[in-house]
Parts: sequence; C-alpha cells; structure tokens
Amino acid sequence: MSDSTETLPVPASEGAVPVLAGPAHAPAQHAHPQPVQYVVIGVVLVIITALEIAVSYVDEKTIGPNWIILMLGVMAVVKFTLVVSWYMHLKTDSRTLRRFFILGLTGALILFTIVALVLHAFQPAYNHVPR
Amino acid sequence: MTTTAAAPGALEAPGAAHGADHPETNTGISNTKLAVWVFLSSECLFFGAFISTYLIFRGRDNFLPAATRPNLQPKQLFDIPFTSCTSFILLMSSLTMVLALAAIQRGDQRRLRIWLGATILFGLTFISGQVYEFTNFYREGLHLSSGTFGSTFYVMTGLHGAHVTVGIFWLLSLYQRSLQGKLGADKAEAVEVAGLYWHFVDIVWIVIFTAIYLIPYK
Repeated sequence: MSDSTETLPVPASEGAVPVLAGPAHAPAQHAHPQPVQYVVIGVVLVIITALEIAVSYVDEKTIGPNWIILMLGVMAVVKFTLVVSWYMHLKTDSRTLRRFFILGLTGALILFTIVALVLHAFQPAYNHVPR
Repeated sequence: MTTTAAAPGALEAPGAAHGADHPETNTGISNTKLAVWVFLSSECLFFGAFISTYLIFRGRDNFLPAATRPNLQPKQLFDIPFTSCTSFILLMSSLTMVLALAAIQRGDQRRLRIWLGATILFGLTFISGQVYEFTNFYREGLHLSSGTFGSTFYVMTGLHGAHVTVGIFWLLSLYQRSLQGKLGADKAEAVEVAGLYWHFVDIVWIVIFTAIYLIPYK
C-alpha cells in the first residue's frame, strides 16, 4: 500500500543525492474547508434530518416498512458520511487516519454479522417469540 | 502504509512541518491526532457492539411488564418531535464545534470562545433532554430491567449520554484555557482533537436516532 505521503527509501550508497526526508505535510492534506462550506454542510444535514423525520411519519401501509427502513438507512449513511468527511476532515486528512476509521467500522459490521449469525437473527422465525 | 523512510544522509526539508503544531513524526501525522483516531476506531467497535445487540433484539421483546398503560409499545412511548429537536441540537453542535476550530486556526480568540460556548450549551441542552426523556420513560414503566428492550435502550443511549458528558467537560477545559490565554493559534490541534471526539459522538447519535426512534417497529 502506498499513498501520497510515502517517501521512497534511498540506499546509503546513494546518500549523495539529497532527499527530502521530512514527513510529507502536503499543504493539500491540511487544507481544511472554509467556514462557509461548513455552514453549507450544516444546512444539508438539517434538510436531511427534516426529511428523515418526515419519512418516519409516513404510513407504513402506503409504501411498506421495508422501503421506509431503506430510505432512513440511506439518509443516515449520507449524514454520517458528510460529518466524517467534512467536519472530521477525513476528506482532506491523511489516508492513514481514514484507514484506521474504516478498520473500526468494518470491525463493527463484522461483529454485528457474527452475533446475528450466532443468534440465527436472519431466520424468518427469529422474531416469533412465544409469550 | 504512510511511512517516510529517511535515508542516511538525507536532508531535512526546510520547514517540513508546514505550519503543523506538532513535532516531526515518521508518519507525518501528529501522535495526538493519530492516537485519537485509533481511539475512535476502537469506539466504533464499542458502540457497534451495543447497536448490534439492540438491532438483533429489536422487535423480539417489545412488551413492557411495568408499563402504566396496557399494551404500551416503544413507538407509543417515544416523543419523536422532542427527540428530533434534541437530535437537531446535537447536529448543530457539530457545526459550532467545527466553526470554533476554524476560528482558532485564524487566531480569532473571540469567535473561538463564542463557538466553543455554543457547543457546550448545545451539549448541555442535549443531555438535559436525555435526562427528561429517561425520567418520563421510567415513570411510564420502561425500566432497565424491562426485558431486552429496556436494557438495550438504556445501556446504549446512556453510554452515548456519558460520552457527550465527557465531551462537555473536555470542551469546558478548552474554554477555560482560552480565557486564561493559553489556547493560541499554535494550539489549534487541541481544539481539533476535541472536535474529532465531539463529531464522533454526533455520528453515533445519527445511527442511534435512526435505529431506535425512526425505524418502524413491526
């Protein structure tokens, strides 16, 4: 794996060639968005939240609960991605940080899948609990 | 991998830190920032475990044995307009937090304090709303021991609330440092890492709000 911050190693025998050894603090990596962009993202987040709440009030019989769940899920993912990319700066920061976060998220999804499989939660009869 | 292998005899780039307020590291990333991201990565697993548990048991055990009303279901218990307002407030606190970071990066101490203060206020409002909600639910008969729904609901939202509270104390300490004049533009990273934590708490709530309050109960 490599990314823009990687500096190729140079054998000692070629030490005569000057190499920039400092960490590649490329200005682009630290160029955070402007306040006005943060506000625009904030407005988008508010609009999506309003849509989410509106969708939660839609009668399940009209479009079916699965469509409602799908729409709410997509909107939550969009909000999540906007905050992580813009407010947490993963869009512009080092790829290493992005990889750490993706590692955690992937781990959480794997954890969910394992627990669901162990408890047979994906089987249709799972929710029929005798009371 | 982000590695910078320094060759023997290699020259140091003049001003290699490019305005960064941290010492040189071989990854090019500040150790503090890297540590916070590793911590947040582990927090993904922490909250992932509770959210997974909630989702897996969701709809399986909705009855509330101590309910004050007969056949009371979680959806009837929730006050969606109220929780939507507190969720909106937490979302807006992320905006004020990031504006505080932009202010300190510009060296604007006045705006830093305004936005930090607003974030703290929004956080306190969210926590107050959660305490009010918990009190109401408890009175209605939803207890920690009210089956899997009660326990998963209180543990997940309670732990999130605890994280918000820790965030408020963190922001208060930054606010105090700013008042003492110890939080100059060279300390922007201190605000940035606190902001990362705060935004993480916000994104966790985005998931929790959708999973608990908005998704219909079958």
